[in-house]
Amino acid sequence: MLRILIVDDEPTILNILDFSLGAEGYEVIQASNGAEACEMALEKQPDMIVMDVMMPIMDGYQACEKLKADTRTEMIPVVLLTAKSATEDHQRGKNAGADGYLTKPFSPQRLVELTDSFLGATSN
Amino acid sequence: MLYDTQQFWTTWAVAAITAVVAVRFIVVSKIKSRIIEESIQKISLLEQVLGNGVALHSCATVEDIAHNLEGVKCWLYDSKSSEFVCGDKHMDNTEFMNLSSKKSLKKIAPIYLPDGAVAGFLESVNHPKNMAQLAALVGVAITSVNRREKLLRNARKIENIEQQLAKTSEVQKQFISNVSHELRTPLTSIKAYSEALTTPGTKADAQTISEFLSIIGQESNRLDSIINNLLDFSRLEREQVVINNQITDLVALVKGVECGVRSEAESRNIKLKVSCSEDRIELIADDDLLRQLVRHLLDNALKFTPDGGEISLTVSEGVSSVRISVEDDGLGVPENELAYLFDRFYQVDGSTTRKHAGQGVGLAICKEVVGQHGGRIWGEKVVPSGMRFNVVLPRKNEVYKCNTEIGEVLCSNQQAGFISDLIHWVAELMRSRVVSIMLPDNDQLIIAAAMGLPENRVQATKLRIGEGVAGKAWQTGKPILVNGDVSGRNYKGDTALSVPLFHKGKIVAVVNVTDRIDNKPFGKHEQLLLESVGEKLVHSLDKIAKYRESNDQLLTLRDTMKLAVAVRRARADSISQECKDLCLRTATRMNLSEKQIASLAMALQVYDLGVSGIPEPLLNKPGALNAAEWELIRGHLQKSCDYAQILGVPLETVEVIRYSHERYNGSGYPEKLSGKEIPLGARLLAVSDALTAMLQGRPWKKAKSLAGALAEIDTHQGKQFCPEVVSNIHAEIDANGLDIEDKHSSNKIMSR
Repeated sequence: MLRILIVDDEPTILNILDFSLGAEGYEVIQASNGAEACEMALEKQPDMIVMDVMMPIMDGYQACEKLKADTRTEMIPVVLLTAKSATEDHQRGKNAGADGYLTKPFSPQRLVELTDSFLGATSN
Repeated sequence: MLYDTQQFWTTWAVAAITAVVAVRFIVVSKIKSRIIEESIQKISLLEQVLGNGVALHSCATVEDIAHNLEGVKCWLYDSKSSEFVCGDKHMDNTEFMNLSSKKSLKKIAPIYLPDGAVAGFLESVNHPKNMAQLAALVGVAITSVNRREKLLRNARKIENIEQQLAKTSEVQKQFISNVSHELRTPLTSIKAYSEALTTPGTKADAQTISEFLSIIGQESNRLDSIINNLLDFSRLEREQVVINNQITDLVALVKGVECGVRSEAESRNIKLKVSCSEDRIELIADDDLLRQLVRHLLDNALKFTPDGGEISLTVSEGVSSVRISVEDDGLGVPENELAYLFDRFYQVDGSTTRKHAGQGVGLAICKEVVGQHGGRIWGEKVVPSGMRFNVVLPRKNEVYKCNTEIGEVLCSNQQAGFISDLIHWVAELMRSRVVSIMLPDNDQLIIAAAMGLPENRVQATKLRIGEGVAGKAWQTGKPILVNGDVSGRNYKGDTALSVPLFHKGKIVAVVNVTDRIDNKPFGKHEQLLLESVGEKLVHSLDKIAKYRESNDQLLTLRDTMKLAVAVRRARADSISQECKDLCLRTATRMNLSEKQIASLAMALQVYDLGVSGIPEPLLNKPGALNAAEWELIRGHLQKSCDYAQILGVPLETVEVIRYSHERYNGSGYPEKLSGKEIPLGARLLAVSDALTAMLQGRPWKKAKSLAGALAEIDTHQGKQFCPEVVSNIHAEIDANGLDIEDKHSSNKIMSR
């Protein structure tokens, strides 16, 4: 079973991510900020990470940079969930090494499609 | 003979012609030499003037011009002082008239500016000749300097505007980013959950569906409240709100708002402590706006307080103001960000707090509401962690009949608003909610101005001489102190004090105070205090009224009175009345004279006025201070003395204040007096100040119990404190106790 780490500080968002991805048969694990996400990524080695940008303690950009700088986690695809749709923010995400992004408000269906395509690509 | 005659004529003619030629030659050469001389003079003058011109042209300020002139003194007119100034010398109009009317008129030349105004004059020291040209030159130079300064000022203004614009656009950019984030967060949930529910083939059971629907509902409410806040703020900011002032009971209002947030607090296991009086606390305000204010303060505290934390809301009343404080034990705000907290849409940056700060509109709304009510709001860090927001609102319940013919002294100043300040000041001083000043009007006493009384009563009250407490005070010319029910009229707290005010031995007004804020009866001390203040105040008003140019002094007196009120307002709960009572009771025990007790009572009221000059962060600074900071703290003592003097307090009072920071062993300041050299009043004040500080606690020191505080005072007796005073304070506490209430724990600001 493919494992997805979802990261957001809003419990309601975590809840719906869990529901949508869980319904597609993925194993979902959760973290509520960037620092927690980095620890969990090392420990649980998820197949993909879906992460919010604006979070306390460590934000999504910082966490993404940290994950991509570590050889043990650099291969895990990271999709950033951002409330910001401005191109400069997407550029920042790219610079941090993110593999994709979804702008809030997002469609759960679109997220599932994106996840499928990423994980399909890695399994190929 | 003819030849002779002819020769004679010829000879004469030749001689004459020769003479004429000679004379002409002499005259011409004299004229020539004079022309040459004058030319040389003119050239040298020109050189001098040109030299001056060059020198003057390069001057940056008008003072430089004056400084660069040689052989003349340059007196410049100073419109502020209406004097001519030359270096550090001053010359008023009379002196100038003397100078210009004497023979020395030639020695001076006015300096005209192009618009015909006189900028000053030159007074010659050793070059009387070219004065007029030089003055014209100075005029031109001053004009060019003024123009340059004006240009520079304008340039600076433009620079400022540019900076402000840049800041505004930065703030707006940040706002848009913050708002879009705030709006999108609930919107994201709504969209995601509703889509999850409507996607065909979603395997959701009945419980999940109802859970999702309730989340959608919650998030819609959140969105709604964010949008409402934004609308509220923009309406408030554009001042489209009509303030609906009415008598508002703050206690009921706060309790109502508290109920609204209690469920959120409980769900997050946050303890919400509310401390306020059981009685009504009334003020004139818009209760809808105040409700919003309290709500935003609590919401803000909830945002910052971690689950399981604590929030305390305190409502306290001062005489002419009320105070609301909300304290949380969250992360607090960095020192350098404190000043921006209330800026529109400012949010404390950094990812640790960003999530909590919301769109930064709540505190901006608070600031607007407080501003509309003429109050003050500020935030401060609390030790060890968290923030406290304080709001002080004036009660605004004064009534004036300023157009009445009023007592000669009080009205001779014709200063609108002066009586208002007087009333406030007396109220703060006596800690009374109700103050009135009565003046004679055709054999009757009418209320000229009052605080805390309904308008119809102020308008209707007319007392015959001898009638009521005030009428009796007027009739007998003596202060009257009443405790208990008086002639059927119920004074709040059953206590009233009427003190006549005299001018040149003639009674001019009666001041009445009732309804003490601590609900205690007035005593002898209060009576002495009001008498001494009244006497001094009328005296200083009279003195000021006698001098033509007294306006400044009057304004200074007014400003100081205002300051006294402002200091009390800002520190509404910081004065320990109990310690003051103890101090005065001890003074009585030590057999101080009535006069000494009155000056001590006065000193206790005004000794910390100078604290207003110390920046708040310094007052609240935890930990040790550096030398410069100590210097500032010490400076407040001189300021307190200055303010006290302006208020016209007796000299003995100023002495008590001046030496209140001396120490018994001579290690204090400002004069290192020791032992009995320090006035007894000052020694008493020192102990009660320290006692207050220890009982209340300070940002740098935790509050102590009474026993602990007394033990600490004991260890310092003979060093910091006078042993005689300490033993008498012990004796007084043993005999009559010290009435300390729980409110001591919440106080923070006092003098070091």
